[in-house]
Amino acid sequence: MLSRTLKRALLDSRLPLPPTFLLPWAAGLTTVSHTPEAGNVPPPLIDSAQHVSTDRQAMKSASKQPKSASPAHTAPATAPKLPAPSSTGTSPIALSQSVRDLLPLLQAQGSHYITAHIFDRPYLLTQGDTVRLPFFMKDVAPGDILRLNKASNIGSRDYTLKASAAAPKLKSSTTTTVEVLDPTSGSLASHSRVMPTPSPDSETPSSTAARTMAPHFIPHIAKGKVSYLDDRLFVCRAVVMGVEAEPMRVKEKTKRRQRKVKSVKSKHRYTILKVKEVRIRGVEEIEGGDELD
Amino acid sequence: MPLQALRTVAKPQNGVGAFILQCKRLDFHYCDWAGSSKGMNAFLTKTLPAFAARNPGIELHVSPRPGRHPVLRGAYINGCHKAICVRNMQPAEILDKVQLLKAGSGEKLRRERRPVKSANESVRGVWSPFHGGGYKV
Repeated sequence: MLSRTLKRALLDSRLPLPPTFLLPWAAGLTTVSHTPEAGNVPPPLIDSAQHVSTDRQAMKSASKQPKSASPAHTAPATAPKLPAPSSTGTSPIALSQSVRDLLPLLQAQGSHYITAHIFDRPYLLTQGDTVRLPFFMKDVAPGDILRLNKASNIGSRDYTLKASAAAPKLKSSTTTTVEVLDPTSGSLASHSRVMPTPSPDSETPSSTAARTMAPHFIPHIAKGKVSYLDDRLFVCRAVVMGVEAEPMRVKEKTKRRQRKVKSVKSKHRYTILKVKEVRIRGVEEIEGGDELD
Repeated sequence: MPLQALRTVAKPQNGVGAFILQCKRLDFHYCDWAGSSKGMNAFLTKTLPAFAARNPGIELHVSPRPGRHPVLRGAYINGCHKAICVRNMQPAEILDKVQLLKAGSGEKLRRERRPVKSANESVRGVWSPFHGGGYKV
C-alpha cells in the first residue's frame, strides 16, 4: 500500500514558498524592482542556474573556429555561477577606430536590439522577448540559461554595430590566376587558366588581402551570406522557459482514383526561450580581455 | 495644478530576473487491481522518488483511484490543468509524460506564426515621413 506513507515522505521535503515579490500572481503588488541578490534568491532557483554545462555552448559557437574549452569561472557570491563564453578567436580583438569612437554612444542610448542567430536563423530580440524556436532542443530543462554568441547586428535607435562583410568566394579569376599554354604535341594550341596553389610561406600579402578583405557590401556576391560579430563584444543570455506543442494536425494522403485515404498525424514540440539580457560591452571591458560575464 | 507622478507597478517578467517553473503541482492516480496501472505502479515505486528529489518546487500528490485507468494531472500557475491518461504505459514512457507536463505552461495549444513575441516598443522608432532623409522629388 503506497498512499499515506509515500505521500507523507514526498510532502516532507517541500520547501517554503518564495517571497511574495517573486510569485507571478503577486508580482504586481510591488513598485520596487528586486534584483536576485544572494539573500533573496531561494535555493531551487540557484540550483537550476547551475544546471548549465559548457557542452551546450559548444553547440552554439561558430563551427569553423576551434572550440576553446574554457572552464566555468567562479563568479562572485552575489550572482549564480554562469559558464564563461567560448570566444571565436584566441587572438586579441582589434577594434577599428569607428567602433572605438561610437561604441560608447551606442551603449549610452537607452534600448538595444540584437539580431541573434540560432542555427543560422536570425531572430531580432530585445530584453524580455519570448522566442519560440522552430525545433525541440534536447538536453535542456526549464530554467537553464543559454548564452547566444552568434549575432550579426546590435543596434540602438541611432547606431548599429555590424560585422564586416564575409570574404566573397569568387568563382572568377583572382589576382594570382595565370594563363598557361598547355604542352600539346599537335598544332592546336590549348590555353588554360591556372591558380597556383599557394605555399604556406610564399603567399603574397596582396593576394591574401584581396581574398580575405572584402569591400563593405556587394549585393550579388554577398547574397545569402551573413557574417557574425565577435562574441566578445556583447553578452546575450536566454532562459529556457519550457516546451510548447502545436495543436494536432492531420495530413490526408491519397491518390487519384484510389479510395484508400491514409491519415498522418503531426504534433511537433518547440522550445521556448526568454531573453534575459542584451548588453554591449565597453571598449575597456573588451580590450581588457576579461572573460567573466 | 502641480505635476502628478504616474503610478506604475513593476511588470512581471518570469525568466528575466528569476525563473519560476509554471507547473506547480502533479497528481498521480493509480489502481492496485487494474492491469493498465502496472507501469504506473512500477513508476511510483522506482522512478518517482528520484524525480521528487530533483524537483523540490513541484508539489506531488499520489492517491489511489480504484477501478480506473492511471492518470497524471498537472496544475499550473495560471490556474489551468492538464490530464494525461497513462494506461498500459511503461515507466520510461510515463516519465516522458511527466517531463512534458513539467515543461508546459498551462496555456492552450496554439499555432504561433511568428517566433518572437515582444512587449517592448520598437528600438529604432516608427517611420515618419517628416524625419530622416526625406523625399527627393
